[in-house]
Amino acid sequence: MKYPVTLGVNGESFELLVEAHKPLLHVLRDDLNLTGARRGCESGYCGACTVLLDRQPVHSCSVLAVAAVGKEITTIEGLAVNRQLHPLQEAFVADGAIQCGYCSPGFILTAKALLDGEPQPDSSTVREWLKGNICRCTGYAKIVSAVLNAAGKVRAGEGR
Amino acid sequence: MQYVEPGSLTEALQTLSQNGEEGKVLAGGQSLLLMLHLGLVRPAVLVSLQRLSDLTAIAYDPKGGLRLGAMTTQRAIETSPLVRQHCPMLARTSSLIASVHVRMLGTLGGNLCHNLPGADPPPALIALDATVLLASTRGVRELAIAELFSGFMETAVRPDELLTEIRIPPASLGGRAVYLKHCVRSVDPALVGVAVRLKLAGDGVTCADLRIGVGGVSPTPYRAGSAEKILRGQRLSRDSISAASAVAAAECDPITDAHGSARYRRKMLEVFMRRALTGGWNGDGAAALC
Amino acid sequence: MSAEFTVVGKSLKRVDGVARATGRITYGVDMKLPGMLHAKIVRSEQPHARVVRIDYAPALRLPGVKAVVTGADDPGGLFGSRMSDQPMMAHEKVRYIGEPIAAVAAVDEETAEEALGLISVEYEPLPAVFDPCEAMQPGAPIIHERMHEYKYWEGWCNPRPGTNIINALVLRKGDVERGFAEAAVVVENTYRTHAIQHVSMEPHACVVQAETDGRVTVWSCTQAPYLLRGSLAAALRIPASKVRVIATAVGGGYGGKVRLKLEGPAALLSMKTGRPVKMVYTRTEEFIGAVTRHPSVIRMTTGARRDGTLLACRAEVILDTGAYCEAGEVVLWEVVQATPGPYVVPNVWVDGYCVYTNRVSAGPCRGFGWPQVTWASEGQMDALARELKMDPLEIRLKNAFEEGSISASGEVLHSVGFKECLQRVAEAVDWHKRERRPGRGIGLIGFTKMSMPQTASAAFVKLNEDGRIGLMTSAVDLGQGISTALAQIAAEEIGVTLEAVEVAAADTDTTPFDSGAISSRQTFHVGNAVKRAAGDLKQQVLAAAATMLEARPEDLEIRQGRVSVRGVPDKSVTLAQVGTATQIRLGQPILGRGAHLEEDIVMPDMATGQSPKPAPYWKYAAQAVEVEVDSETGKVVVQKMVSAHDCGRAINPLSIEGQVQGGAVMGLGFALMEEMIFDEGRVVNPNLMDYRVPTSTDFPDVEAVIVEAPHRDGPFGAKGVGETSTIGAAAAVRSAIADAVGVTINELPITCEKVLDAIEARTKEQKLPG
Repeated sequence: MKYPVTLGVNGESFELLVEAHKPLLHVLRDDLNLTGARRGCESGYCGACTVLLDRQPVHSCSVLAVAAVGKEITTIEGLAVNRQLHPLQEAFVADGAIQCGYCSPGFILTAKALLDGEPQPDSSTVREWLKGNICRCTGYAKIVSAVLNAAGKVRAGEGR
Repeated sequence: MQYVEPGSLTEALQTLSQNGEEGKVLAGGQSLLLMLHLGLVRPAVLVSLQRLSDLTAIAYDPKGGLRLGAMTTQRAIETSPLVRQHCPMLARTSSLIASVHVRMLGTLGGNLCHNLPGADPPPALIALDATVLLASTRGVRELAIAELFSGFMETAVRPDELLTEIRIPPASLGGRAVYLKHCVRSVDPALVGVAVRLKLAGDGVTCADLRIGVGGVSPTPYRAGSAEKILRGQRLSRDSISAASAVAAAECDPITDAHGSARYRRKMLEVFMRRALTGGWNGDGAAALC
Repeated sequence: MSAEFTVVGKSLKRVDGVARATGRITYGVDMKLPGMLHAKIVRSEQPHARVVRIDYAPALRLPGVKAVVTGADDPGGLFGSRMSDQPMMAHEKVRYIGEPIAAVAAVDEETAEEALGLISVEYEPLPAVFDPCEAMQPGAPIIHERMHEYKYWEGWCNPRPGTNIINALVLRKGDVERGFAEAAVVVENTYRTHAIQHVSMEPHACVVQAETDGRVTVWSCTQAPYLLRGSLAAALRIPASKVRVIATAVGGGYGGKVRLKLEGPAALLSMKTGRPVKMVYTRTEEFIGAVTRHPSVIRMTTGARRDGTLLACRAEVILDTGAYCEAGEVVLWEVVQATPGPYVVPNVWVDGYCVYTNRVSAGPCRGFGWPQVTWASEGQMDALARELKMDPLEIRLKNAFEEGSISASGEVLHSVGFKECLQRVAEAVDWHKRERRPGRGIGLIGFTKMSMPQTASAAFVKLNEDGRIGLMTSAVDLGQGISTALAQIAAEEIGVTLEAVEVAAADTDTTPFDSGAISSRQTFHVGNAVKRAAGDLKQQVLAAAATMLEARPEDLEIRQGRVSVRGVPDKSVTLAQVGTATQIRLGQPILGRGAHLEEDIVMPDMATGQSPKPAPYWKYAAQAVEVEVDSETGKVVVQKMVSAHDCGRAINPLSIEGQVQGGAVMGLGFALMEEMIFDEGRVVNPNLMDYRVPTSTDFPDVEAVIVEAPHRDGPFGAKGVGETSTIGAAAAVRSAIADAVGVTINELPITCEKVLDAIEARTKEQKLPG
């Protein structure tokens, strides 16, 4: 059965007809063309599909689209404002935290949620938050340092 | 598949009552969506609880103890000042579940009702002597937590019932409590999870009261009654703790899966029960909480 | 280090970084075409069986289903790497659980999925074999009855029709019996390694469009567009240029996306429906229907003098390639060349076998057989050190290859930074002054890997009218940063900045031939082709500018995008002026061409394995790992890891560090966490809960050490580095555990349970009287 829903994504409102069993991930990718949310394992382990739901990181494969009504959804496409990269995106590029890049949106969004709530995390807190995102390329070292470097820049007022 | 979001508990219970086996409760969805994806469940009606904000309350009073609404997320438990103050072991247990992502949406009620192998809260709540409230249009019943887990991925919750609240009695909030988990990656379910709540007598060495919960080892979480019996009322020592742990290991009914063999689980139950009991005895919870 | 360079040797930001950081890059799974259908595959439920009947009529009646294809629709061409043994869809029989039997195209993925349930397959089961040693025995069920008809490359394969041995190769040097007779100590051990999955975060994905003119266009997240083109054309029995492969961005490959997979069934469905057909593997299909690392059984005997000098090594290497070769025949070919490791051994006898079994095929997987043989060879070095009571570092340094050493195949080795790698990791862990602490230990090992021969690369470099450089190769950036490295090489050679170079994506209709992102070869091979093409372009630019400036080409130089007369900076033209003049006014567009040549490769003699130059180059590395072992649980916690790599010349040190760190963590996963568990050929744990990939909290930051022993044939001296750091981690972890608790595990993976069992067995032994 299809339900009419209104989803708030990246500050915009979208009216859609979705089936009850559709994960948010599929609606973002197939209906809204927001492919930055990636299809990885579709079972809540890899984190490639991470989006922010009311500013907190969740696996969008593990959220029903019908249940996301009324919530604020942020995808990687909503992070760079006026083509200005978020400090985390800049740090990921500059610090070599991106290799194949498939997991990067998920990591960047998770890190954003962390830094929004805790601007000065230590490295073990960063690792703890990031463990819901798998990266097969980097071995994590450069990702963790990019998050810490971005945190420093946000603190120093260089970012938003 | 139909999707409904009742606005009240009464409405939710009526919906469940009308749909029987065809209905399935959606809490945080962190277990259910995986099962839907794998085709393990195909409900006709999904009953979402997300509008029932009453079910997300965390409350404490000295007489009633700690009460957690079934829709309380693991993240809320992990970060709740009330839980951290009155039952730090539970807050700590929640923090060991999977990842931040899963804890953001995953609820305590959902976790208990799926009874997935290696889940962390069940042994902790068994040690804490928790009870759960199961509501239906027929009324409300209170069940000891250990009785909730009726078999491999099965619970005593009837199709028309809703688990609404988890209660931890005041008597469980004092004393020493430890939850230890053995797993390969920290995101993994427990290969062995042992929770211990222990009260020492005035002499500081006699075990006045003890409750042990075990998860991950057997098809379903359980209370390690024989080990408790060996130690309750006895002087705690390295030897008595070892003896109790050995009995627990001898009596368990371990499973084999991709994470470890039955043989290894049995051995690890002995090791982690000894470590958890020792942690509770020494009060050295921090060291034991690895 | 690279003061003489302006672009090469610098840790520049990757050219595609922003596209990846913003999620705006198009991977295979993101492809969409108008009118596109979605396809799914019906997979074998039997490990070995005749397919008696396939009934798909009910599926065709399901609304939304557009077509079903089976082996009967397959033109029947076989494909492979150096051995063509595989059909796109099962013909008559299936050889593993997961083999494609039929495929269905429907209006959406869910309908296609539903249709799978309406297709029934009737099997006649055949005896199956799952263990490679059993599969080699006389009387074992034969998995490929028509092996004698298979086409293969001479010099690579020595199949034995009538058995399950698809390749049997040897290496012979000196007289091993005499070597053992002279040895003061001889150690003999059996080593086993297991299957792992690549777990690219992006699953296999493609869109295939059969065109009206008989051509087939494929968008795929492949690692090797030209290899895919060749395989698909062979399978479809059409000329290669009738297939056009366009590479999408690739979300991780590690060897898993080299071979033809889902593109085959998708092509058949597109031909049948005339519509574009998209297919994406589920995570489960990645485990049951892609490829794995080759499990292996290696028996090795090694002898040494009292002072640790190696005298002889005899080895039997058995690789389990599963149901099809994929690249097992090549994996074997490579590792037979240096089974004893990067050490001088005067007497060597290696017998290598690549064997079919009834499980999902093994294929290329980051390290390509070298993690397996390194597991054995470094185990032998540790065993010798123990027997001789020698320092593990000392025995390695004593025998280590260096510039001019003679390899077991008779090659005089060049560009050998091995000893420096060993010394640098030893320094990093303070090897000589390390403290002994209970339950803690350090392991230090070394290894090598070749890049395979008989591959090719070509490059086109063009000058645009705006003075910017267009780089056209069929290299694939899997994340390793090859686009950036190639742009750096082109920019350095021409004399422009990195920003002035645009890198085109591989498209077999327009970008030139390349063997793809395999064997850590792109920096070396494509890099050389780009360097030559850029040099060619530069000469053409200088000639054109000379005319424009009325000067002699040899008096001109290019700096920061401007051509000027050396010493007379005022007398200059910009590259834009040259580009505009040559392309638009003169009708002489500038296109530099270049290729990598392998003139000196000599394929080894099949009878002895001897060759003075079997490989374009060898890479060397050393790794050290510090662990803490819980002797009650067997749990191993890695506290520190250092990984040193001889990469010839670091084109982009930041990228190389990333490769080293990522590969090392994948290696630690192989050592301690990851395992595809099989039950009678069925994968028991085809998901990311039960198959454990390392997460951010499992291992410490890996310290990457770059060693540079420039190679005379490499671009600016560079060699590849992509696969290397995955290779040694398991061996290093084993050594560290032995150092910590005195037990040695020779069967991977090193599970808690195995460590605990070994500790308990040793304790029992120590308690025995006497």
